[in-house]
Amino acid sequence: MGTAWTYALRSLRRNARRTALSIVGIGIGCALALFMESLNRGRDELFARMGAYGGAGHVRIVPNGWRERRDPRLRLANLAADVEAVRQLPGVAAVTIRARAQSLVAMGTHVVPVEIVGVDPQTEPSTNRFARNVSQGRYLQSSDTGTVVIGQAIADRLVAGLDDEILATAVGRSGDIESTLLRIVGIVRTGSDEIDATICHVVLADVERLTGLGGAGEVTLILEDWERADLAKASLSQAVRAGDEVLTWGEISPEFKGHLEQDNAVSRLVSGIILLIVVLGVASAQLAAVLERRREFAVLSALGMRSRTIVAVLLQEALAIGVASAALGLTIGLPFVWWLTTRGIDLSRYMGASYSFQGVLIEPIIYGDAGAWTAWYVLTVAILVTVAASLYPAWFASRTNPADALRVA
Amino acid sequence: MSEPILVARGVTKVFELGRQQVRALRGVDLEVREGEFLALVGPSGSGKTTLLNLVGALDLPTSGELRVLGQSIAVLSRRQRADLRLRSIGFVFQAFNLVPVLTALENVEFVLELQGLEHRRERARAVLQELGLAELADRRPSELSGGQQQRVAVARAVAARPALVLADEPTANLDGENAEILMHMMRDLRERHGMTFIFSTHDPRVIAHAVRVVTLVDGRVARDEVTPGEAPHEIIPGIGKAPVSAIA
Repeated sequence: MGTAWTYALRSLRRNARRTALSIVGIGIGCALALFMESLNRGRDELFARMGAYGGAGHVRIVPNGWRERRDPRLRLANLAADVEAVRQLPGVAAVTIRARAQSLVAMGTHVVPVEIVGVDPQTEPSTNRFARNVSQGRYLQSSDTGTVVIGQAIADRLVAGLDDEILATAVGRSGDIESTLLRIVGIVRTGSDEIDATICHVVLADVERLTGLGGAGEVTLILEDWERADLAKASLSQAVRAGDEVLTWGEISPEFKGHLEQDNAVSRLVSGIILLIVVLGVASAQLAAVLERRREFAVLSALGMRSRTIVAVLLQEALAIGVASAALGLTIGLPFVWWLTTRGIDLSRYMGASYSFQGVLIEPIIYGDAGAWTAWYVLTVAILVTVAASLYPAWFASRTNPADALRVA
Repeated sequence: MSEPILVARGVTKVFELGRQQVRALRGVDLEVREGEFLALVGPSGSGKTTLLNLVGALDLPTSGELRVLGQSIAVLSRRQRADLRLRSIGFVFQAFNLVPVLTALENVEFVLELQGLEHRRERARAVLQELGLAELADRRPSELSGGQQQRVAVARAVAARPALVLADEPTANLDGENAEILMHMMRDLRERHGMTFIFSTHDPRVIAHAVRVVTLVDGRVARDEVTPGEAPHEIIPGIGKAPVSAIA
């Protein structure tokens, strides 16, 4: 360690109380920022998981044009090649195919507009949590035909129950109106009427029969790591043939992602304001320290220390404060993060057992995220804060005119 | 005859204090050659410290020509002046001004580190050894007497073997005995390494050590006297700057 480092570190001990207060201030700020970041990441993960397992998936292969028009009649141009491409992709937890059709379902005098989703009963439950939570009856089976699983809200509006037959009507391939009878084998109650009103699952063959359109409209993937959606898209895009394209969950549900980003921006703004207050407080303390040492900087300047060396010495002091603050921030913040990741924040008191957000059913308990990133995050924030707080005092010190400072002193 | 280490021609310095102008120097003419041991004397406010600051490239003259070690101070940038001080000028201050958080050895070493020299610790130790300060190496300034601090300050000033050492009232805070020790130390350094010393003082005992005495009055050179038999530029002919490694 050079003498400059020795000088920087020992200088911190000159006014130990001020240094300690700076470290405590930055440490608490970092702990708060860490808690907010853990909550943000946990909420991101929760919302992404809810969206993905609510049917959107993390990544989806769709026909060209679907992204712009959202037309359920569009079908994949190369289903077999798309499925093969997915099979080659590492990190895929589950995959399913679907076909959709805009429809009216009716029973007696009651009519409900709904998007019928044709599914593969074998793979759908692994990608869709609603398929695993049928409250009455059962979910679809591969051998089914002419059967349907609907949400409670649709059942209520149709005044229908298990084993009732409903009439599904859709526009066929040739433009004619096509109808088919579907027997209710299962009813899903998610806790959200908004979501329940969207659940209407049949087997793929029934959608084909109703619309006259063969094939599938989408291949939906669940990834082992949702944060790798962009990478998965990049890999798949190279393998998927012309006519089809790959979308991430953010592209499938841009409003949902936009709302998430907006929430995150607000949270990070709050963290930023907290840290800005810390920066200003520490900058004030650092400036006071520099003013106290003005004569010393004048002497060092007289001895030939360059302005940039004075800045470097003060930034070394900031770095040391930053590292100490990071250690304190982790010490304070990690127990709260641990609590957040294990107990979570239960919002059911305010929003009931569950609520929907942009068409996605959200669980009421938000857990935090933790991992190796916490150490890097706190260290980075602490160092950025201390360096930012020290820049002006360091610049001020570097501009000390030695003759003036020595004359005044 | 050697090249003058310092040439001042009509140097003035005016300070602006609010609406008031203070003319600290009113046209100083001075030439100093390598190896001189020169005392700047004069009453308070005569411009001694101001002239030392200008010669040390700590400040810029208002007008006139000032050349130090062949470089015109007025045209040097802030960084170039810092480099000139770092490479060629040592400072000793009235109030010692050692860095309080560093030991005596580290204070000396710090200057060598600023210069980017190698084997700094050994060199710093050697300088302290040469000046008889080895036993103080690990003490901090607060653990040293005033005289000891000023001797360490001299060690710091000469550690990198500058061509010119400037000392502003170096004995003002010392008792007679320590003032004597300090002056002997500085004369020894000048005789052994050929450094040029310029120091300001009021102290007659210090003035007695000077080879040349320049008296400033009201910002001008009023008298310029050389001790009989010691023509300043002829005292140590042929002695150049000794490399730092020579004492390591």
